[in-house]
Amino acid sequence: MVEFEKFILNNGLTVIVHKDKTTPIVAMNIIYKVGSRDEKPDKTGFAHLFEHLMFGGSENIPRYDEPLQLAGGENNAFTNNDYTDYYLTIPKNNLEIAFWLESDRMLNLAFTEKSLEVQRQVVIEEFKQNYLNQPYGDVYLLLNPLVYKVHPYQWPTIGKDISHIEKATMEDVKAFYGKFYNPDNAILTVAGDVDIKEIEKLANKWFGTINKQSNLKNRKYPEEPEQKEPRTKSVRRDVPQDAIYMAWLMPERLNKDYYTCDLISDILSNGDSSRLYQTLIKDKKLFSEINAFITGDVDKGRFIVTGKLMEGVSMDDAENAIDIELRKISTENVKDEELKKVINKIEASWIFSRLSVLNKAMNLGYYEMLGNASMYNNELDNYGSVNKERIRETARQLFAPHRKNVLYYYSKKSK
Amino acid sequence: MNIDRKTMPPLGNIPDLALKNPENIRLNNGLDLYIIDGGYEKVTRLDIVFEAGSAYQKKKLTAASVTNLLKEGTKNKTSVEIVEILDYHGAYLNIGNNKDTATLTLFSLTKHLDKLLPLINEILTESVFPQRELEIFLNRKKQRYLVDIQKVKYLASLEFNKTIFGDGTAYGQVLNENDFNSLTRDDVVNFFKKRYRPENAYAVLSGFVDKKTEELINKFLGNIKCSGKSPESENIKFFSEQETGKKYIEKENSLQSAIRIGKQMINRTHPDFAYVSLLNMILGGYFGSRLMSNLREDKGLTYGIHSFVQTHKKAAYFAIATEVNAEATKMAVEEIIKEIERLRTEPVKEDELKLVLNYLSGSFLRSFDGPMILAERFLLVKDFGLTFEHYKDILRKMSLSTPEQLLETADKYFATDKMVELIVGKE
Repeated sequence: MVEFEKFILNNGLTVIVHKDKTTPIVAMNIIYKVGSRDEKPDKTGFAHLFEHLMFGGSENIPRYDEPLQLAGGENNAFTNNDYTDYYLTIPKNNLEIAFWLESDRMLNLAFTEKSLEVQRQVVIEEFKQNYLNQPYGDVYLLLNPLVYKVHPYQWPTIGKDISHIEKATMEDVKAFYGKFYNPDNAILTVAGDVDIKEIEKLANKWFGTINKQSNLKNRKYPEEPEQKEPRTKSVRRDVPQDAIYMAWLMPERLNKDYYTCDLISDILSNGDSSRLYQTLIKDKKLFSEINAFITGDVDKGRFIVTGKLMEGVSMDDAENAIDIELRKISTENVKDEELKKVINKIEASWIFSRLSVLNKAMNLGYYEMLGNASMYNNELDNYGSVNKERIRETARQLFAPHRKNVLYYYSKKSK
Repeated sequence: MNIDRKTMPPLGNIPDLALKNPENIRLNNGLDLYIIDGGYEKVTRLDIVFEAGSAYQKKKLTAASVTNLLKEGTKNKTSVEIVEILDYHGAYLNIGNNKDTATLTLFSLTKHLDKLLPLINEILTESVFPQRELEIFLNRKKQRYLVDIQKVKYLASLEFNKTIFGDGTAYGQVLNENDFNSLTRDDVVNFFKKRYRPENAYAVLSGFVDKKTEELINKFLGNIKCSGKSPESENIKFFSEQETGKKYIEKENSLQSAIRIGKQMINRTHPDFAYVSLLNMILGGYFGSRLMSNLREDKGLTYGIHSFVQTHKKAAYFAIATEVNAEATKMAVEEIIKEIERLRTEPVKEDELKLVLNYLSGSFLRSFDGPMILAERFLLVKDFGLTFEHYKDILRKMSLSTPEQLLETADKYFATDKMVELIVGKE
């Protein structure tokens, strides 16, 4: 059990506190409920660009990093489809400095032209480094639009196109901040050797005085319709080996079959004893790498299988071999031992996840974003209640032939 | 409530590191075991370290093949049976090597150790290194290599390593495509026999440790036999004098250039090491460093730039690494050189020094938080005959250092004309 206390400030900010006496470090995590799914199709990459701007100074504090480093703290942030997460760790007797820093950038940012220009360039370099100047870097730019025709998950968090980042204006940026960066759209989590009363006092002092609202209750995103026909796309690139990327639309995060799908992906490819690794890499030697995973999004996400083909293996043979494995899990029950194994792995990784205060803070915040921080403690039960019949039936529905999306990624060297 | 948001709340003292050195026990077969216990979650980590890194191999890929094949079959268990046991118990077994050592690391729930330690014993005493598995490993590794050499970053790291330590030396070894075809099973087996021996190794047990855990360790590690005599000391040339000057490898159509600038550097045991580390921090060792502030936060030339001091047992080096907008390559190099020169010519301001020292104190606190992380710190310095005292010593020296002293140290160790400057991509 990861115990915690939760309270909500008058301005709507949710605060979660977890006490861990064993460490001199305190973790603070702030989730803003905004991700790339909140972007307009002609202004993509904004949530992520904005994450960069959050380090460009706030109304009363010209530089975010300097005081934090002076206080012995360290921080970072990430953006995904659904939310933006800012996290820091700091020696516990400097905790109030973290409250001061984070509340000021929730209160108001400095919005300088210089910061926008520089971060725009930095993000463009990030785009190049990770998506363009990298073998197979553009895969998800190509695969996502196959799976999604209406839902905003069709573009990646970095953005659909560099031009969207290039064209972002100060007005756009300010409007984005005004809409999403408010106490009622955020979750603050503090974990460490702290006193709950003290955190209540600090939260009220620094965050409780921020009077602005998002009022974004019942946000609706376009629901991706069920796919009727398989979709494919082929590209040829300057890469050394052919690769295949398959994707299926899967249940949303709060659907109980989300856990079933996660277990299916574990049976297929978590660990060296998993099916795809043993059959397709070790026995049939068709692939040099193979993976199955779920993307973990809040709305309907993707179940993905990717493989890099060994030299001389045809795309047809590679795809057939994967299909055979998917058919098997869709028609035959997994063995009890096999199910027990993946559940055991989940149990172990769940326990390992509790070793750091930062991890605990991030997880509590994440589950609160999903609906309730206490879900963190129920995860093992959720996985444990999936049985082998459910796995077979879910796989059968998930991998139905008309639901399949495939990206064939050919090397220029191959025929 | 009226609050003053302009003024930073008072800065508290950052607590000192409270570290006790690991308890050292010698097992029956002479294997040294270090214990770092603590933590309330019942999880345990075991590291076994052998002096079996790539520096000791006669043929490239030997050391890596051994670490990879250790999980691939013993006299009584097939590869799949081994991984089934690990996966079934939710354990992680990572076996890998660097230039000096090969390390086997097991992460496990404490309650499963009685099932896993016998397996570790078996792996270390009865591995058979099947020919078939060697082929699969080399083929997959080659495919990954072919992907990697498409990346400017990877090409730069290979070339830089060769330039720093010298072509043909033990540390300067660099992979090329032919290496994947020349390794035989005999090479692998011989290397294993020669270098995976208790007298050539030590182990670190960390996390939740009780009497039962110790007994299990004694039973399953303490009985690993020494077969034959220990390897005679070989005459290995670890590195040669480093080249200096500029190197350029063009990669057509590259959107970014990878830049590496650096030189051989003094090692951990040198009295000036603390000052060199501090200078490295100031230059490129953290997010607010001079290089990050200049090239990323001021000019937007890169997504990231950092510098580091990499220490191996026999030699160390300092390097700056980044990928930059290809069109701005020249400007980026100039700015980097300018920042190194500034370190050598301008005294560090008190404010900046204080900030870096505070940041370092916090960062030390973080990197010693919890027994398993402590184990990692211990592994980093054990080879130098050092313990946690070394870290406290470094931190103390750093906090007492003066701008004048740093200027002197910078001049001594960061001369740009002694560095190599490598660009992969576009000039």
